[in-house]
Formats: sequence, C-alpha cells, structure tokens
Amino acid sequence: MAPRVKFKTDGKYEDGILLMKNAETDILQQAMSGSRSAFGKLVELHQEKVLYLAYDLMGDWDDAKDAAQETFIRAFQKLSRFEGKSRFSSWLYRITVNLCMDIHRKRKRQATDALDAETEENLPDLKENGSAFRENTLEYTELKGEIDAALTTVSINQRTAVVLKFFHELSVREIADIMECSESTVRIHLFRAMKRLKETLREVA
Amino acid sequence: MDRKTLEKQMKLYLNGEMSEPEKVAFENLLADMEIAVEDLPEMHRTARALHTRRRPSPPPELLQNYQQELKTSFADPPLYLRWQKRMAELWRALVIQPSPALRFAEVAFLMILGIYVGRSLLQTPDVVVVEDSYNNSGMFYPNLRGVSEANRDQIREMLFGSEQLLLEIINTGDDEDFDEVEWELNRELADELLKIVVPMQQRAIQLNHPETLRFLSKMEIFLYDMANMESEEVAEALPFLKELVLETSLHLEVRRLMDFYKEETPADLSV
Repeated sequence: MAPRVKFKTDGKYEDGILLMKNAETDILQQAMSGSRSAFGKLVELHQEKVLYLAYDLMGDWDDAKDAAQETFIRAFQKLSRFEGKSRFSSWLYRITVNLCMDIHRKRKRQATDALDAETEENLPDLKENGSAFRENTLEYTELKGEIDAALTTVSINQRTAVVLKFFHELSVREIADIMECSESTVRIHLFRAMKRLKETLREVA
Repeated sequence: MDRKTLEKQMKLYLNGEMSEPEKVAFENLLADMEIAVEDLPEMHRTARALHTRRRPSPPPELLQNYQQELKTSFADPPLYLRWQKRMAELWRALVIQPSPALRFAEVAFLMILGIYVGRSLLQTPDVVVVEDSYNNSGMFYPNLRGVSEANRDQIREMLFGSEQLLLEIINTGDDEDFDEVEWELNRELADELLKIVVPMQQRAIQLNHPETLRFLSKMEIFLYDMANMESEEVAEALPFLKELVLETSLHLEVRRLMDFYKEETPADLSV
C-alpha cells in the first residue's frame, strides 16, 4: 500500500486533493522549464475561473474575455517569477485583479465624467427592478442583476474584495495575498463595501 | 465593549470568520445592544444576497471562442520554431550574455587563436624544393608559394641589376672607346648591388635554393672588383672581366634565375 502523503496548502494539510495537486505541481514544473504545452494544460484547468473573475470585476463578457486571455499571456511571460509561495491559482488571480484594476483606472481617467453619468443613470433602473429586496419576504436568488449593478457603485478595491470573498469564496488571507495588502485592509474594504451595498440595495427596495 | 471592538467583531461575524460558539455569543451580545441590532439584519441580508448570487453564464459562442483561442495560443509550436528558439537561446548563452566563466574561456580561446595565427603569418614558411620537371635543366626550383611579393621583388631587382652589368661588359668591344661617364654609372650600380647582396644571400638560404646562393657568391666577387676599380684601370681590366663573365657563364645563369623568379614559376604551377 502506497504511503499516504500529506500536501501542504496555505498552511493547512489537505490529503483529499493530493493527487490533483501533485499532478498540477508536475505540470507547473514542466511549464516553468519552458514547455508551452504544459502551460496549455494549466490554462485548461484555470481558464473558466479566470474568465468568471474577470467578468465579476469588469462586468462585461467581451472585456472579461480579453482580460482573461491577457492574464494567461502575462502569466506565461512571468512564469519564471512564480516562487510557489502561494497557490498557482492565487497567483493567476493576482494577475487578473491587477490587470482589471489597470484597465478600470485607465478608463476612469479617460472618461471620468461619462462613467459618473452612467452610474447615476443606473440607479433609477435599480430602483425600478429592486422589488425583490424586501424585508422578510426576500427572494435572494432573484437579486443577481441588482447586486451586479450595485457593485458598480463601490470602489474597484472594495468591489474586488467583495467579488473574491462572496463570489469566489476565498478567505480574507487569500484575498490579502491576491490584492497584495494586509488582512486588516481587506476587512476594511469588505466592511465599507457592505455598508455601501446595504445603502444602495435599500434604495432599490 | 467599546465601539472599535464591536465593529471588529461585527466584521468577523459578517465575513463568516467566527466559530459557532463565538457566533452565538456575539448574537447574544448584539441582542442586548439596540443600535447594533438595528443594522445587523440588513447587513446580514446583504451578505446572504451576495453569497447566493447566481453565477452568470457567458454567451456560449464567446466561451467557445475564448477556449479555442487559448488552446491555439498555448499549443506546441512547430518543430522548426522550437529549433529556432533553441538556437536563439544558445546564441544568447554563448555570445550575447555568456556566463563569466564562459566569457573567460572565450577570451582565452580567442587569444590563443590570435597568437597561433599571428605566429603563422610572421614565420617564413618552409620552402619545398621541387625538381625541375619543366625544362629538364637539372636545377631545382624553389617553391615560392607563401613567399611574399616584396621578397620576390627584392630578388628580381638584384637579378635584373646583375644582368644589366654583365651584358654591359660582354657587349663592350675590345677596340671600343671607353666612356668614362658610362662606366661611372656602372660602378655606382655595382656598389648598390654589393650593399644588398648579403641580405639576398640570407633570403636564398631561407628559400633553401643552392643555385641562387651559388650565383650570388660568384656575383659578389665580381661586384666587389667593379665597385673598387679606378677609372684609369678600367680600360686595362675590361677584357679580363669580359673573359671572367664568359668563363663562368654568369650572364646565362642570371637569365635562368630570372625565369625562376617570374610571377609564376614552373614549380608554382606544378603544386
């Protein structure tokens, strides 16, 4: 019987995903030694998660597709810099988040006024469609559109923290690692975002 | 509990980072605090709403294109491109950015190569003497391949001057009037040739050509006599010099040697 080896992931020992993780580590090592096809396998493993994250941050599928593709290209170019201190998926998320933040900042700089006007215009629509958010009789699953729209009213950092926490179910520690800030900062982003979202959704209701 | 601690606890509670006993304790605490309890249900609902948000699906065509484009981007490149990349990496490692040890080795190799090539160029090549199969004269031709053009010119100059002097003596008739000016010019020429006869002998030794060396030795005596002859002695000595040239056949020998040192000797052609 083969010995049961434990695989350390972010300080926790998980043996249930040992085989999958080991396989990914092997592929990662091949990719780091320059194998393009090995990196292609890693892309296959993570392409959907990265696309969804980019969508959650950008709010548009075409933009998300471009950002996700750029993420993998950058990851391949910078693969030698991956030190293995965090999970590969976290590293990919970090690239995606940075990329989306860059795009967001660029767009904001280019058309700050236009973006503000658009946000203002979205709020009345929110109010019209926000009947689902009512005390005691809430149908939370119907809130998809309203939540996505409400997320555009918070800052990009707060939005990133919320998206990673609630949509991608990462721990605060992982979010801090991805956003390259302290855990306290992540908590502050989350708390402020929650307060803001609460206000926005109350207006909708 | 102060406000800061309360907010901190609330963040942990809303982020779902509390254990079950902590959660119950906190909820009990909130129940006693009117203000916090007012905010909490709405925050709680917001958090639940975020947690239960349905994941949107991308348009199928977009997803398909996205997956296909990524697959194409990271597929293995063709064999020739892989080789091209490897050669580029090798070139970079050897030439553009070599390691210090490799750079040292390259410099050392280039220095050794430079010394070897430099020495080869400076050294006089060994002369291969080839038997004359061109005119069956029994003489040996020096193989002049590798002998510089400047060295050949020096030998040709020596031979040309020698022939000029020898023909002058032979062609002067016994009853001819002696021209003092013309003889002075011949004497100067003999003097000039006498100065370069020693270097020419060394060159002949280097070329390992006994015929040239022998001719130069005979010519040296002749030139010495001519260069040191006084004007009044010339008329008397001329018949003896003429006889000497004819006896030793120096005028024929010089002609033959001049043929050897033409731009392309028979020996050169035969190699």
